[in-house]
Amino acid sequence: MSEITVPEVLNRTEYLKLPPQEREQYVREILRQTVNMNPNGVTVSFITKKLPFDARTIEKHLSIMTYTNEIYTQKIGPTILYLPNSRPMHPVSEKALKVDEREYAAYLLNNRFGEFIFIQERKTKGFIKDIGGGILIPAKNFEQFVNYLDDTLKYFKEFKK
Amino acid sequence: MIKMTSNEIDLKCGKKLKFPSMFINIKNNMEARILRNIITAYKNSDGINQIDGIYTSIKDWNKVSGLIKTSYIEKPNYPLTDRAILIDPSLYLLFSGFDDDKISLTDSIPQLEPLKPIINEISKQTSQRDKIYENIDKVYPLLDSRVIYGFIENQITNNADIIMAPTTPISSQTKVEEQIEKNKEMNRASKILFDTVFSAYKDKKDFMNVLPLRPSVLKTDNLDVLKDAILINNPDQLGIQLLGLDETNSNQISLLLKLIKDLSESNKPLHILNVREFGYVAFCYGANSLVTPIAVDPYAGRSISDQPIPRRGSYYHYLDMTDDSYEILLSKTRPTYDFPCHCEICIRNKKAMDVSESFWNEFRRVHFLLVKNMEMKELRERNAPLKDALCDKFSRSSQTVWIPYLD
Repeated sequence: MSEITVPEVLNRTEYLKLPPQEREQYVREILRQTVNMNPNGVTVSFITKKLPFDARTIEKHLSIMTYTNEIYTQKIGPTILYLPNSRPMHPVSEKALKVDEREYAAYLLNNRFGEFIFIQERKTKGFIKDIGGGILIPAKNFEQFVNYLDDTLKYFKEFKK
Repeated sequence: MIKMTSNEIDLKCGKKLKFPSMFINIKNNMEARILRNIITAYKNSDGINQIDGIYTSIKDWNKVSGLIKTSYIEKPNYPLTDRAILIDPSLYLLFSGFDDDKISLTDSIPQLEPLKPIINEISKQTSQRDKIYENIDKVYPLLDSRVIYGFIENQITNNADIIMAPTTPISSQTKVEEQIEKNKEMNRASKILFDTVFSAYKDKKDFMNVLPLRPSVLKTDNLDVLKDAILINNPDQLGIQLLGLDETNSNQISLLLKLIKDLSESNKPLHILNVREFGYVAFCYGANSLVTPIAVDPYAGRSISDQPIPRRGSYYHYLDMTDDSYEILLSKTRPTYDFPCHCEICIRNKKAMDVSESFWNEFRRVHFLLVKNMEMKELRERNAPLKDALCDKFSRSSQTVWIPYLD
């Protein structure tokens, strides 16, 4: 990985002038775009060289995105490589399920760990659309997973009675 | 990616723009009321069915929004918001507007509050040159991401269909490089903020980069940097806001048309804001829509002479395509004094002297809108190529100045 591609960004002074919540969202979105623009992965040190954010801020946002399964990591010696999950993602259904301010969408995802059904939660809060979380279910076990949900629904209805 | 079919543009908000299209600039409550009433009051004609959009400045939005958003009693669930809505940040007014425009604008955006004393101070300068220099030195540094955020937030909150970048004007020949650089930076930063901190709207609203431009600054060797300034960061749409136009300066007009043609090759919808007849010429060079004020010359300043302003404003002569004063209209229509127009309101009123002085200014605005609607219908339903249709129309009018430019 000799060079990484980054999106157009505000300079440091400009982005620091944004209101705190918007500033956080701005950094997250720029990092999201950066990881997606580099399918071979990025490291924190490479991002630090190209973007006007400090390493701790970058690490914080990348770890949140790892937690929500937007990206995944690969350890190469002491270096952590962050890779996008979005590139091999294909929508399973055209329709997302909307529940109030949340939206759930299912994707078929092929990454180096295999084939998965990825259920992603997207949240809209104010002007911002963010990823709330996501779970990966191995594609071969997806039917089993749905059956489990069916059973859960039955138990839930019984329980409510 | 904007989907442009042969004669329609699909906006991300779900609305469509036809090609060529016209937006009407509403500046006050009276104009909003007139536009609104046309839908129900002039049912025998095509009304304003050929008008695709409503444009207003952020500074005027509060005065007009109620009438645009409210549904009709006769037509439930039918507000004017079925048209595309543009709410222009009009940041250029801070630099070249009148004092009351500056006040209205700074009152509309809380983030402009710290600029008020500086703007006031600069307004007191008598030399235009000093104003430009001071604006660059003192105002430019304050137009930062906070200000841009405020303008975008305002447009989204008020449900504009296309979000316009708040950008600075390019108006001075001596400081053109600095002005282009600042304009480019504001277009760039606006698009970055829209894509990041307004990410919930990225897929729901189009984004327009804007070039507020005084055509006198155009030179062959600055066309490329101007193109870079407006195309930066891949916006969905482009807008050129004209801050004046000298119809007699053929070099200026040719350069402007070249810029329009070059930008149209980017395959992004191009809007020409604040124009009249020149907008039709721009269609031949690839512009997709024009924004016109109602029945006024877009470039006329306010009168500073001792002459009282005529109580009856000018009447748009449909055939001559001129704004005629009441006296000239009477002299042109002698001896019958019948209106030289077959729009519904002219047919109803028949003669100029049949329209009372108190109704005249409303009358001429309704007439203007109905006529512009008819002109757009003619252009859309023409049998000949656009250039030939316009050539034919201009040659029968007093707007022959445009014929040599029709391409």
